[in-house]
Amino acid sequence: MAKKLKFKEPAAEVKPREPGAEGIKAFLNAEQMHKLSRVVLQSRYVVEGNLAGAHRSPLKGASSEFAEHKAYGIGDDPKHIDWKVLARTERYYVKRFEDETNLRVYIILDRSGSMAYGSGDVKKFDFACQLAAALGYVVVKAKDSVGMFVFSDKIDMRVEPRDTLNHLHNTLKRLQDVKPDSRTDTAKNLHQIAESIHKRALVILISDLLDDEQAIVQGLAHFRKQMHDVVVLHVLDPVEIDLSLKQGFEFEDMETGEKLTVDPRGVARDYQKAFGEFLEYYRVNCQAMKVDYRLVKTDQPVETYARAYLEERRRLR
Amino acid sequence: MISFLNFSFVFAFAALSIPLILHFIQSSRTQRLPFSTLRFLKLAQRRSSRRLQMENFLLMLLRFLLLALLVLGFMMPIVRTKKFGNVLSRTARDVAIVIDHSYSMNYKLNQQVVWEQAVELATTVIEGLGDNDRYCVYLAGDQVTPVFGERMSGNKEEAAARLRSLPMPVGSSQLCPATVAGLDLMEQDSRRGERELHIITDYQLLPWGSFKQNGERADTADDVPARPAAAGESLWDPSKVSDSVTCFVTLLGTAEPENSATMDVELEPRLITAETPCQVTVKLSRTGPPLDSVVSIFLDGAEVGRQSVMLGIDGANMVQFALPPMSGGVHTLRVETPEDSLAEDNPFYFLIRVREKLPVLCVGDPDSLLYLKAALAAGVGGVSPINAQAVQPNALPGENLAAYSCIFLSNTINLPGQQITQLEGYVAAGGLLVIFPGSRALLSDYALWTTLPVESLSMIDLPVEQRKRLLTWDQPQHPVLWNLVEDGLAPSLVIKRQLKYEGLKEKAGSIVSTGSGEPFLVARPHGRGAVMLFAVAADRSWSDFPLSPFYLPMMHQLTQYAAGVGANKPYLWATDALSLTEYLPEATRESVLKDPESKPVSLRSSVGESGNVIHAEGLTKPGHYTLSVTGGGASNPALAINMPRVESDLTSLRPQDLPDILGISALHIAEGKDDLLKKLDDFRIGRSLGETLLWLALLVAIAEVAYSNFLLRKNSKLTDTLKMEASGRLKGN
Repeated sequence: MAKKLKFKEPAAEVKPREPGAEGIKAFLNAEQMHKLSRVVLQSRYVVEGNLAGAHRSPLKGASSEFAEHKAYGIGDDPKHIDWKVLARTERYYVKRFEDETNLRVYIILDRSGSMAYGSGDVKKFDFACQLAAALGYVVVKAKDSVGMFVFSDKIDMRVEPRDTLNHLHNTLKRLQDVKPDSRTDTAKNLHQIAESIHKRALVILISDLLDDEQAIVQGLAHFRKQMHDVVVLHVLDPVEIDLSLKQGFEFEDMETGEKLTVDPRGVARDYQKAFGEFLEYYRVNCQAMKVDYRLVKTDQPVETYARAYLEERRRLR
Repeated sequence: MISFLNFSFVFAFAALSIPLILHFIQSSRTQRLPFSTLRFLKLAQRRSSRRLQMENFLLMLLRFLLLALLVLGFMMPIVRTKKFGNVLSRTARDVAIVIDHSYSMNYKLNQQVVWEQAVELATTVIEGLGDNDRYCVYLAGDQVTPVFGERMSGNKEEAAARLRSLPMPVGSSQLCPATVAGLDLMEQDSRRGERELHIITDYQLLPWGSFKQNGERADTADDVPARPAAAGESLWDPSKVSDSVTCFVTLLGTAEPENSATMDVELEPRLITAETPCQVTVKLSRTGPPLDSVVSIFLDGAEVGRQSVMLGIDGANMVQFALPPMSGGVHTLRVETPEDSLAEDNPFYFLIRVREKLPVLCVGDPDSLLYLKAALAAGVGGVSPINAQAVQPNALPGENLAAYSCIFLSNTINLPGQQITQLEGYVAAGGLLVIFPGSRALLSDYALWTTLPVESLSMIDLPVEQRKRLLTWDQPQHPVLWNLVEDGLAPSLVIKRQLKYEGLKEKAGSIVSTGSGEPFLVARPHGRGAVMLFAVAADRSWSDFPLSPFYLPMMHQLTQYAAGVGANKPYLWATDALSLTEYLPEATRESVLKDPESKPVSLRSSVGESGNVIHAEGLTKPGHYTLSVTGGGASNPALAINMPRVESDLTSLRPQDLPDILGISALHIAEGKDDLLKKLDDFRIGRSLGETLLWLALLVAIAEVAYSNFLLRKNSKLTDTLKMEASGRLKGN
C-alpha cells in the first residue's frame, strides 16, 4: 500500500517569526526587514509613475536635468524658450528636461499545485511568498509602489500598486490565506496581466515555470512588448533539479494526480539532462528578450538571496 | 558425468527466487512521493529504459549467478571422468600393479620403510577396487615376479595377506620388464573396460633406465643409467600401450635421499702370504649433501682400523686401511659405514685367503728342472715363499693337482692323453699351467693339447747371426711383468732354438715377444685358469734364458699370478643361485654351507660335462658364509656375500621427467599415498568442483558489489554542473 511520505532533506534556515503574526510580519521577521532596509530595487529601464520619484520617466518634466532642445511650436510654454540660443541663431528653441518618477512594481506569484512541493521544511510557495514580501518591502521602503497578482489557472488575486507600508501589509495579509492547490495556466494569466498593466512598470514573475515553456516565453514577450522591465525568479527545490533521492518511489503529480513508479537512482542522469535543457531554454530566451532570468533555489535564506540579487542589479544598472 | 556429494542441498536452489521476492516486496512497499511534475521523470524514464533494463538485467544475472554458484558449491558437484562408462555398463576395471622390489625400497624415512609403504599402498589400491574389477601384481626385481600368478585376479581378500608376506627387497630392479609383463597380461586377458597401470617405486632414477627406448640409451653421466637388457627384457615402446590404459606412477619416500655405501674393496697385494702386511682400499659412494663420515674395518670380528673421510656430493671417495700380518687361512673382514636410512649397504663383507707358502709342482727330469727349481727356491733371507715340488713325468698321475696353484711342465709335453686331460681339468678349475718346450717332444705331441694358445707351431734353429734377440713386453700391464717393467731394462737373449707359432687361438695373447715380433710367451685362459707357453726351454739347451736377470723374477711372478688367477673373489654379490663347484672346488655333496645366521643353505647337486656340479641356492643374506666340507667337521669361512651396490646410488628422479621417459600421455604422477588416492578419486570418481564454485561465487559477489557501486556513483548533481551565481544568474554553456 502506498503511503504519503514527507521526504526530509537539508533545508534553508527558517527564521523564527512571531507566532500568530499577520501581514508582513507573517513572512519577514525584524532582522530580515532590517537587512532589507538598506537595499533598493532599481529598474533597468524607464518607467511611468504617477508621482515624482527616483526613477527615470519617459516624460520630460521639471527636473534640473537637461535633456534636449526642441523647436518652439504651438502649445509650448514660452517660458521654456532658450533665449541664449535665440540670440545666437535668431531661431526659437525650447529647453526640455528629464522627468523623474516613482517605480511601480508588479509581483506576479504562482500558486499552482506544483508550488506546494518542498523536499525540506520549506515549500516552494512559502519561499515564493517570503521572496515577494521581501521585494515588496524593499520597494515600499524606497517610496515606490508595489502591486501583486496571484494566479493558478486564473488570476486569483489582484492588488493595485501603492507606495505605503500599510498597503503592503494588507496585501500580504491577504496572501496568507492563499494555498497552492490548483492546476496552472501560466501563459494565459501572463497575457491577461500584461493587458491590464498600461504604464511601463517593473514586473516580477515568481514561479516554478513548470508549464508549457514556449507559451510562458510568449507571455513574457508580451510584457517586454509593452516596455515593461521583466524579472523572472524561477523558484525550484534542489531535489527537483538533481533528483537526488536514494530509493524508488511512486511519484504523484501534485497538479494532475498522475502516478509513476520509478527508481530515481537509475534515471537521475537522464532526468538531469532533460531538466538542464528545460532551464537552458528559459535562460536563452529570456536573455534574448532582455528579461532578467534568475534561478532561485529554496535551500537558501530569502533575505540573503534578495540582498545578493538586488546588489547585483544595482551594480549592473 | 556430474554427480553431487551433497545432493540434498538441491532445495537451496529455491534461494534463486530471493531476488525476485525481494523485488516484488519492494515493489509492493513502494512509498508514494508527491512531486511537482512527472514530466521530466517520464522523459528520463523513456530515455533510460533500455540502459536501465540492461543494467538491471546484468545485476539480476549476477545475483542469480551468485546464488546458483553458492548452492552448487555446497552441493559439491563431482565431475566424473569415466566418460560414458556408467551409461554403457562397461566400468569393469583391470589394474596391473608393479612394485619396485629393489633394496633401495628399504630406505627408512620417519621410522617407516618405503617398502612397507609400497605394500600398504598396493593393498589400498586393490581393496579400493569394485566387485567386477581385476588386478595383477608384479614385483620388479632382478627378475619379474608375478605375485598372484600369470592371471588377473578378482579375489581381493587374499591380496592383503599375500602382499604383506612378500620378502623384503634384496636385489636390484628394472621397472620396464615388469611393466611390460603387466601390460601384456591385461592385453591378453582383455575385456572391455578401463585399465590402470600402477607403478609404485621410490624416487630413485636407476630403475627407469630400462624405459629408454631403442637408440636412446644413456651415454652421459647425467642421464638415466642404462644397463644391458636382461633376458626377456623388451625395449619399451609407448606406441604399443593401449589407449585405454591410464598409468599412475607413485613415488614414495623422499626426493632428497641420503646414503653412504661401500662400493668395492681392493687388496694389495692380491696374493697375501702369512705374516706379511697388506693393504685394503675401500671405495665409497655418497648420495646427498657432503658428509663427514667415519669408516671402520673389522678383521675376524675385531675392529682393526677406523678413518674419517669427507664424502662429497654424489662423488666417490676412497680410504685405505693397512691390515696387520695375518696367519695362514681364511679371514673374515667387514667394512662399516655409519648408520643411515638405507642400512642394507652399510656393511661390506669380504674374505682374505692368507697362504702359508705357494705350492708349485714342477714336472720334468732333473736336468731340465735345474734352473727352474733354483729360481723358485730363491727368496729373501734364503726363505722362499714358494714351496716347489719336483716330480718325474711318470709320477704325475699320483699327484693331487688341486693342491698346487701352479704347475710347470719342462720338456714334458709328450704326456699320455689321460694325464693331459687331467692337467686340462686342473686348468679349468683355476690352475695355471706353464709349459716350457724341450727337445724330447715332437711337434705331433703338441697337437694332443687342446688348451694350448697356438693353432700350430714349428721348431726352428736360428742361425748364429740371428740368435741375439731383444725381448719386448706386449702386455706391460700383465701381472707377470709387473716387477720387470719397473726395472727399465732392455732384456736380450741369445736363442739357438725356439718354437715358432702359426697363429694364436681365440682369447690367446702374446705377453712377451722377441724383437722380430715372434711371440716369446703366449697365454690363453681356459676355464677359470690359464695356460702359458714359452718359446724356449727352461734350461740352457735352447737359449740363455735361465741365465738372464729376469728369469728368476719372472718365475716368481708366474707363481704369484698363478695363485691369483684362479683365486676366488674376496666377495660375491647376493644371488639366488651359485655354482659352488666353481667357487669352492673343495665342496662336496656332503658339505654344509651355512648362512650368516648359521642356517644351512640349500645345496643342489647336478651332473655336468665335467662331473658333479654343486649349486647353492638363496645366497641373498649379506654376510659371511661358512662351509663344512665333511658335514660334521669344522666350518671355515667360505663366501662373503654383499648386496649389489648398484642400488646404493639413490640419485633422484625428477617427476617432471617421467612423461618423457615413459612417453605416455595418460600419465598421473603421485607423490605419496594421499596424493595417489586423491588422483584416483579424481580419475575414478571425479573431481569435486565445490571449492572452485565457492571461489567463483566470491568473485561474482565482488563483481556484483563493484557493479552496484559503479551504478550508484556514476550520478553527479546538476546543481554542481550549473554555472550559477549567488544572485541566481545562470551563465551559458
